[in-house]
Amino acid sequence: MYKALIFKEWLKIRWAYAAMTLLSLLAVTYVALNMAYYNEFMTAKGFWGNVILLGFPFYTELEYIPVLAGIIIAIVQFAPETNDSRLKLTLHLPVEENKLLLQMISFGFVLLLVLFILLTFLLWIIIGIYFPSEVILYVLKIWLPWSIAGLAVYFLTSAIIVEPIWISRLIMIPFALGFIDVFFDIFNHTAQLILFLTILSLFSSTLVLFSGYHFKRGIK
Amino acid sequence: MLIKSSRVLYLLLIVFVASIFIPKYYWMKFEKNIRSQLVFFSPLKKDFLIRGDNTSTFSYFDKAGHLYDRAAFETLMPLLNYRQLTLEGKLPDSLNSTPLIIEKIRINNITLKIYPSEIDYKPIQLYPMFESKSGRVQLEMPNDYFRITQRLEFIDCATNAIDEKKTMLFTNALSSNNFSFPAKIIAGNPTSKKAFDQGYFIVDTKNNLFHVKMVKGKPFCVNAKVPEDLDIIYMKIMEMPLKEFYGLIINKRSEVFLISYDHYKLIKLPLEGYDHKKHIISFMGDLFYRTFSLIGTNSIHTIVTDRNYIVVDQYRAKWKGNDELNAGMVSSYIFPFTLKLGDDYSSLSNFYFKISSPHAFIGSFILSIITFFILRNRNISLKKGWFDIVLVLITGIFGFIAVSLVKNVDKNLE
Repeated sequence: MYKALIFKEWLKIRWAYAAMTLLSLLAVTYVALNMAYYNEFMTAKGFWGNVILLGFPFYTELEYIPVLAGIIIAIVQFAPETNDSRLKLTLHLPVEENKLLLQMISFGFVLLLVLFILLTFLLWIIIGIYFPSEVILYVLKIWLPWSIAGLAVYFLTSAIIVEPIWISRLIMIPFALGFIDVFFDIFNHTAQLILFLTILSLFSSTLVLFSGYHFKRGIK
Repeated sequence: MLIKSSRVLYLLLIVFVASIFIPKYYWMKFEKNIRSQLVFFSPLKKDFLIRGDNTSTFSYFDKAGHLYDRAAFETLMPLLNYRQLTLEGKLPDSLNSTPLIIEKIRINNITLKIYPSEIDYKPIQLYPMFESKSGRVQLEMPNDYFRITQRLEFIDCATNAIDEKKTMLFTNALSSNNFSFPAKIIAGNPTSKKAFDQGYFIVDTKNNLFHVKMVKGKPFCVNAKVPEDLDIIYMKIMEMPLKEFYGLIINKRSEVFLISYDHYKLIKLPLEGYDHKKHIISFMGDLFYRTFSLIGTNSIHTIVTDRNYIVVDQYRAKWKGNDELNAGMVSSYIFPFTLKLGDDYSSLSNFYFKISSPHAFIGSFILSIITFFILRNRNISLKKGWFDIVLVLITGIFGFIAVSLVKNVDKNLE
């Protein structure tokens, strides 16, 4: 049953996932080309000075990639289910409904996680061409909240789409936006702050259960 | 059970977001821009001149309450305003029987500030080592940056590879001076836009302070021989033409020292009551006096010393901050607490949690009673809805927003 469900999810997601992977690769390539350009035109020591002493952000093209990926995956995975109330059929399969929803959402989560880890790895490599580890770690520290935001936005968007009551949807949206905004508002964060935000993001995966509960009960 | 936990999580998420954004929007609308006083010490009058918070007009007053306009202020502060006075032909020939020579005034004038947010800021630990005696008029950025691990490593910008020869040269120089690797603090002024270069002041793992720079391609390394229990947390190094001190040291106990050019002798500044987490230090100096202002959110403490750092005069003032104005009073009733992720007094994003005064509890109590009726209206028993009421009692308006927006899990359908 689980295998079949995963296969069904994969069928829904695969093209969007491929597109997001492609887009991410393009963005990383763009950053890499930009770095080569700066290295040539600012000269290496000029580029180093700008980045190390002035914090020149040469990586901003990647800022919203995880959030975009999170939203797109959530839409292609859950929008078709809710449009024709197909989710109702799914929820009546002989599997416990919460387990089912959690399986669906964990599948999307794992795919996104793989994509973000890949991006982190690529970022590591391209920065490492021009800069020592201190700069790599500095950029990855800035990148970390952006990618966690991608996971959080996936969970929240899923919950918003599955939610059948329009007014409840409208209530969820501003708080979801506020939560995501936090990730783009922080800089030079402490470990405890990022840990808290990560835990809260991971727990927000259960919000889809609350929406799913409304869905199954047909509360409108 | 799972559904209920999911709802609880949803409520907590709303409380978290609301406690950040609602006070933020409230203060965006109602916050007044309260400026700190600016305090000067007139070498002519030997008294303070204070510029109040109304910065749209140039109006200064002294401790006795006399008002001075801009022209009078400039005449009373001839060293600070020597350029304007020279332009007007009003600069006196001498002051306190010292002849006023423009070049001398210029190099003796000092203005620098130390903010709490620069003290806890940790920059990328890579630094350019300038050639301090290049024989050129202007300093040039080097082609490599150094880091301190178990050695002092130079990394070439163009190749991103370690320059082993230079690394060995500097590492040996540090080791022969008993530097114990790695470094705790590296402080310098990494810009080529300065008159000359004095390199870096580096604290090693044994709390020794070293002065390290490059002179004609060779390492220069001196142990400044500071007390081991100095507990340095921050150093501000600035090359100034005056060449009286290399920079300032701030330690854990919020004591402030100057590192003097005289064999690195430390000069303790008489800044009683300074707290490096709460105060900005504003340091103004001229031919005769040093004026240190410790600026807090709603207060200023200015200490004037002579050139030997002996206290000459002091000034203290307090004013009402936003918390004490109407908007602040209202907010302390509405919000039981506020959460910020950033702070003006730190460079770090963290939880800056501020609990309001106890009377916010009155508001929370009223809201929890309303919540009780809302729950009754929703046919939720106290046994099932106690969490909602407790949440509102603790988190006040934020919890109330969450509970009133999010329906309860219907027990009949569960």
